[in-house]
Amino acid sequence: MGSATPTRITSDLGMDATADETQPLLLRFKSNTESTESGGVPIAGHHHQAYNTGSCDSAEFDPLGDLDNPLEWPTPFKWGIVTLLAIIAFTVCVPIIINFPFLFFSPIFLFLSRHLNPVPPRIGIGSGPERHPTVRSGPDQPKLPVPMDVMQCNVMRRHDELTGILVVEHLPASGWFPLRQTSGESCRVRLAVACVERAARDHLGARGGGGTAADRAAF
Amino acid sequence: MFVFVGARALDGLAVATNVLVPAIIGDMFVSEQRGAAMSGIFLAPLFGGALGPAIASAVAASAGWRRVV
Repeated sequence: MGSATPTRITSDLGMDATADETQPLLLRFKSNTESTESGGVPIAGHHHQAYNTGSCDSAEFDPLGDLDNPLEWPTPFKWGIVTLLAIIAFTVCVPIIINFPFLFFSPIFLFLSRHLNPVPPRIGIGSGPERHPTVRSGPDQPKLPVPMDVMQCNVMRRHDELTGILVVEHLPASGWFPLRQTSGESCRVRLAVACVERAARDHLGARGGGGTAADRAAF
Repeated sequence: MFVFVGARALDGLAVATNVLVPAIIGDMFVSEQRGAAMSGIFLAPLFGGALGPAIASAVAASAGWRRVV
């Protein structure tokens, strides 16, 4: 933050009914001329207006140049941040772990492989690679959980999210807040259930049910 | 189990940045320059959601479904 001349501070905050729609609603603007006449200092840069910084939430920068002002950061640095945020958004929304090569040694992978979906016993010798283990039931074999199919899980999750949007979005804005809030809490509970379920089918159901309420944040 | 839950928590931290992205863009760019940055940011999760099932299906088909968490 710049320690030099701060911008003008006044106390008349509030929304201006005649404010330009391109300006922040919670900050009042005055032109350079008006700001200078009243003793204020206009902000250097692209804006030709001075911020009313009467709120403690407002930042004050040196009008002669301040490296803490994000608007004055170097353009490559700005786009580096944008690229980083885009990579984060992409990685989060990919339904698989992106560092796939390291997954072979991941404790998460080892745990899920051993506990969440036990490998069914092979029948005989030389039955081939067990890429897609199948459920084998019989009088001499224990009942095994159904393996989770990643595509089925993703499709079910997407469908439930879509259902959540179609159902919750059309509810009236007033009076239905408890339901929306309960929906969000249900999402968390179902995700927790999905984490502790040992059987793949239950994990899939809990995961899909959690997706129903996952879009509550959109409201 | 706790590692799995911890990984989910880290995933939630990453998701939290998605909510703050518009404010970050608004702080760094003036209104005339925000279009390209906002477009790129909001395009990234759509690409992730579109490519993720395809990549996961390819991995599941080639290396087995256990390789896809």
